Amino acid sequence: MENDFKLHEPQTIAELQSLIREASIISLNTRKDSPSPPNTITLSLSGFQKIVEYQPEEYTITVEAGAKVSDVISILDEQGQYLPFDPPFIDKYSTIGGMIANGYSGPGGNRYGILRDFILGLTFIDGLGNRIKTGGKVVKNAAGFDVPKLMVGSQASLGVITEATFKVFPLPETYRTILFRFDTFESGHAALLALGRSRFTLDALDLDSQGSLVIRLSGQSDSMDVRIQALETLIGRSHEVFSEDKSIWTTSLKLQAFPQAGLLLKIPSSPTSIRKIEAELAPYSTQRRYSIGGFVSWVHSDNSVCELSELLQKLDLAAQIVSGDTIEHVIGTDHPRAFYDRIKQALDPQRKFANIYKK
Amino acid sequence: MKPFLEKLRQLYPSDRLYEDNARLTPYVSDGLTVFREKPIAVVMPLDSDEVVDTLKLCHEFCVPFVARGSGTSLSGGSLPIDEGIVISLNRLNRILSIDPDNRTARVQPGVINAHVSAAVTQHNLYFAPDPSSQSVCTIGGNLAFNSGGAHCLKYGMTSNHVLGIKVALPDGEIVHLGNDSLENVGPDCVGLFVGSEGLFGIALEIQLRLLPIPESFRTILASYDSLEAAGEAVGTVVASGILPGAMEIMDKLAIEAAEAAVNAGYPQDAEALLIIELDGEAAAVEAEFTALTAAIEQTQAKEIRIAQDNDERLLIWKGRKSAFSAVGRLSPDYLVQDGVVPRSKLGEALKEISRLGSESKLRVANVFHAGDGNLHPLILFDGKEKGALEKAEALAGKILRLCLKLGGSITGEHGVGVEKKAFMPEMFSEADLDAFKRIRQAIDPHEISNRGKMLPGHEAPALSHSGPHPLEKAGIISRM
Amino acid sequence: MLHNISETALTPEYSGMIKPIESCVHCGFCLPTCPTYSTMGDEMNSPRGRIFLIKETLEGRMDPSEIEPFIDNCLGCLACVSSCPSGVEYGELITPYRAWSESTRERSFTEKLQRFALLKTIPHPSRFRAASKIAHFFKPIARHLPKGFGAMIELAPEELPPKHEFKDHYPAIGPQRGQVALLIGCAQQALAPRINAAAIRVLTRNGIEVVIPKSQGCCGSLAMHIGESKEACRAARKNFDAFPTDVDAIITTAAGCGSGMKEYTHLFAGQDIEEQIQANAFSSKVMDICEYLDQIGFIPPKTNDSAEIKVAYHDACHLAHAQKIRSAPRSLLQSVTGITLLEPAEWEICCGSAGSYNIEHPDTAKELGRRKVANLYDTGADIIATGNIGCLAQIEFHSKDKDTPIRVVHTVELLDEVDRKERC
Repeated sequence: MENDFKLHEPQTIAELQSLIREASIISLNTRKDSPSPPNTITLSLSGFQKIVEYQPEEYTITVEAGAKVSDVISILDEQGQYLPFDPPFIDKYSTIGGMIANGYSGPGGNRYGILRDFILGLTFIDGLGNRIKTGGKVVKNAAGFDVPKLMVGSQASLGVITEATFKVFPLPETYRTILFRFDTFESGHAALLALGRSRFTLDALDLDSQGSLVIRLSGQSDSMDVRIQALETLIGRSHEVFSEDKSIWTTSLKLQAFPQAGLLLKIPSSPTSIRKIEAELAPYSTQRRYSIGGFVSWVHSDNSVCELSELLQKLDLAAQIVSGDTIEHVIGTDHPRAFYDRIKQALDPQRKFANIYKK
Repeated sequence: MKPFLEKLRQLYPSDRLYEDNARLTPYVSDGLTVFREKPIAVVMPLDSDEVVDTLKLCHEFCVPFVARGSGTSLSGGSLPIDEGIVISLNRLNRILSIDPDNRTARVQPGVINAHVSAAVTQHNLYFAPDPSSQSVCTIGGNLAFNSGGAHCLKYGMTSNHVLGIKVALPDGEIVHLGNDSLENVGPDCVGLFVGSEGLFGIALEIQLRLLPIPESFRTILASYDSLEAAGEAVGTVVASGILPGAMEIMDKLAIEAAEAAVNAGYPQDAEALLIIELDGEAAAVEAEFTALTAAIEQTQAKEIRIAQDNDERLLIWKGRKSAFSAVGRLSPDYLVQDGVVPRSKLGEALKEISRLGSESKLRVANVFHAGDGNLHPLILFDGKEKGALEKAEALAGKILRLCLKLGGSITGEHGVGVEKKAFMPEMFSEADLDAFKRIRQAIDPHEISNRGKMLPGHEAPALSHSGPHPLEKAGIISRM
Repeated sequence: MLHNISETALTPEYSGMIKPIESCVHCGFCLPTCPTYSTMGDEMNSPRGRIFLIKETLEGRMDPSEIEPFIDNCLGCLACVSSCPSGVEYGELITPYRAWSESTRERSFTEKLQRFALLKTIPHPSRFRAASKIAHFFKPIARHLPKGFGAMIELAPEELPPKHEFKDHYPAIGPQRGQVALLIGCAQQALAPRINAAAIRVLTRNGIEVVIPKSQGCCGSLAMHIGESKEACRAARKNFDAFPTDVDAIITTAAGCGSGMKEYTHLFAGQDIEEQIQANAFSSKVMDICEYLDQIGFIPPKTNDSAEIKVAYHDACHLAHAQKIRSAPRSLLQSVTGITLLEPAEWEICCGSAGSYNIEHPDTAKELGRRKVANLYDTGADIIATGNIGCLAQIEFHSKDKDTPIRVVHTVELLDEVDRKERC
């Protein structure tokens, strides 16, 4: 398969459209380690890297899908703005299109919402080669179907994203990252539940298997000490200072810290269900990290896809494969399948793109 | 139609199946009364199974249906369909479960928006989307039209607060979208379903996301000598980097109407009023409040007032939320528009709307979500005057085109419904609309689910007045 | 709302119906506060739906007989008026519409008999007393009778308090601050004469001289609200003659009577101009007891009694919605030492009494009565206060099955200087 590999790099929308119209199988190789079936045309959107529109006073940005996420982040940063969902797993190759198709959100999703909550508009080429523009460029828009959201997490199975508009927020004045260390997962989990129900507005709230609770606060600097004191009162113990620098989250706390080999899974969860996940998945995995206040579980495992899929089905859970040597996209339950199949039929009737569910 | 009705009668007792004139007539309109259409029947299911059985029957006989909650749509979203039935979901109004630890509630579609917050307030939680009609409108309708509200600026629309949906597709097949998590795997089907204006079937159970009630609020009223000055103040606040929970503007006419309705205590000498609300942790709110007052002092505010207690705060919001209906005191009829413009173009848009209004010799009241650039011009007219409705509709059309020209949208939160579907081709290309249509047909091949809404084409709605609709004259819509 | 009602099709007395129809924007804000919508959940049993149906009927598209059941279901509580942001005066539509449609209406013999019985007993204290005694004998067979009659008998009081004779005149105690005439009412006079007795004591102690015109009669509200406008006019005319015009106010202790008498202006709309002037003059003098006391500056009773009582205040629809009086009774009660005021949930929803509604629509009335009593009991009050005899009787009736029924009194009774222990 490696021998057949040819990367197509169209430079115009028309070129991209005709490539799609002529191809029988298209891959965007959003997961670099996943093998592609034979006769696959692999596309790169390196020809589409422009920042289309960015007026900082509008708090929106429109970029082409081939733009590098890291570039977009630094352009925003220069204007004191950011993507509040903290795009995770970002390296120098990561593109905006890939970010949307994968649909991952980092710890910052705890405060204002995840990727899907920040996407306003999206243009894509469907399986028939049509260029389709949906959503809008303004922060509020109810016209037409919300296809921009649909494309989040679609894993290049419904079309090729070419352009997207995001809502962005002003960077907080200061950050503070603090740690509360607990003896057991259970006691850390109890604190996570209490914090979730409390009136604290935390930028990030992550828990690991050992019971360490990491919290990020943001806001006006003169309010920080008072807020941290109030947090200590609620939790009933004192904190360890981590850092005042936000970059700590992309260095020592980064999700990339998982081992390179093996499978990494994203499992949507809830503050209460992570207890079950911790208990049931411990024997099958090497590392677990609970992020966005418990609403997402990142699980690393050396077990087989088959075994994990069965286990997840038993627990009525679904998972997305973030990385690993498999062609599978989604394992576990497939509740939305009947709906997905109908949409797939509408946008990719000739099945040129991957199917996220196993046949 | 007869065999269909006979089967419907087997499904429903006569006190939950309306076929007579007197019981069908009150259903001919929703919150937008210029469009009226009589259904062939109205049914009142008591549970999900009855809804599914009804859909199967509609599918079998190709009879179109519209699901209806409290009928408050301002875009004609729940207007009945000619030769179709209305499925009234008002008795599917149970809150099925509340999960305080996960901050979720599972509800039926007929639950009233405000009842959700009332039911979870004991857990210090609330449901964030707060459309002005929240004391009346149902969650099912909020879901179908991705309703917004004053606090969208910080908290987003309905779509941002729905985690999972149990859906009955238009052929009666049940599918579960999303789950009880904020996160999801695979395409965001919940995201697509919310705001689909009832074209994909009926939501039977909805898993809502709840938020902790903010510890502290600061609500500020600032009055200005002109609407433009208030619009510019919004820019100043946004530029200061503060993210308020809400930023609303009302103009003189709207202030007058709201004041008459609820005695909110708004300054009477203001040409425009800016309402800003901060919320969050007490310490954070106080720090933001200092920064905000500093920002507002730079603007040309002639008076700044701060709500002294929660009652005063609630009264300020009651006035704002009554404003649309209160305009009924100023004029026998009005049309509400819902266009969006980029925030930096607010001043320009307001000036142009005022110019268009005087050009058409019609009064326009403005009350809107300034922080989002979501305008709500209310075009006042007297339907008894010959040609007045047509004149008002023509002005509405000009305002929508203005929003598009400025790079915005034809609707921020009211939806397209029947009212604005003729403008869809101006916002979307043929290919875009074709894709919408393909998605629609893949889910609903007979196009029976809320036929005639959002997507151009199909029969035009019945109009209450005589003479062709301006859109008919333009050849955009047609009547059977 | 757009309509095609021809203004010439309506005679002057009914042309007032057009304004509320025009003002309605169909927003639906009235739905959740409407007692019939909140129990039945369908559009034709909502204020918005009824307005639309009346519009269609007045436009000639529908026959009045088609919409009868939904018009009849309306309690006339006017909660919709309180919740309406557009300022629709629904009362100015439903009352004239009922009178307008009554003329063409065909009623069954039982219905006619029932309405006749109502109008000929309730407004006449002596007949009401007699009828109550008769009803007592029929109680065992009430459920076998036609619904309305059954309800009438079921609701009839077990026993009536002794007859109370009022004097013509009660002088002010201390320096005189004003002079009022008191409507002593009809059903209330038989059911609870203690209320007016308390009102007289409170007024005179506050320096108000009270006159009680001998020849006064029923205010006519009951007839007015069920579409019997001729009967209502007759009652009003009698009172125009009976009441003096030089008093500061005409006081009533029954919210239903107060709201009806304030509506005389509409009742006589389109009639003889002299009568219209007379009606306006009369209406402008009418005040509820609490409204009046609050206005003159109520002097609370001096008391050494330190007992604390928790009072749940029930808003009578005809006081809160129809007369928009909500703060006066509350501030009066709060001015009395030892009283803690409690607010029940769903204050805006009617208790189901609504004039003669609990007789004409017993099922809905029962559901609403139970709901109201549950909300009131949930407050944990020692005593329930309200401003209308109908509500008082309805709440008492639906408290019967409670282990320890809470006493229900008129607000003015708590403003009276009686030893508190007697009240609870």
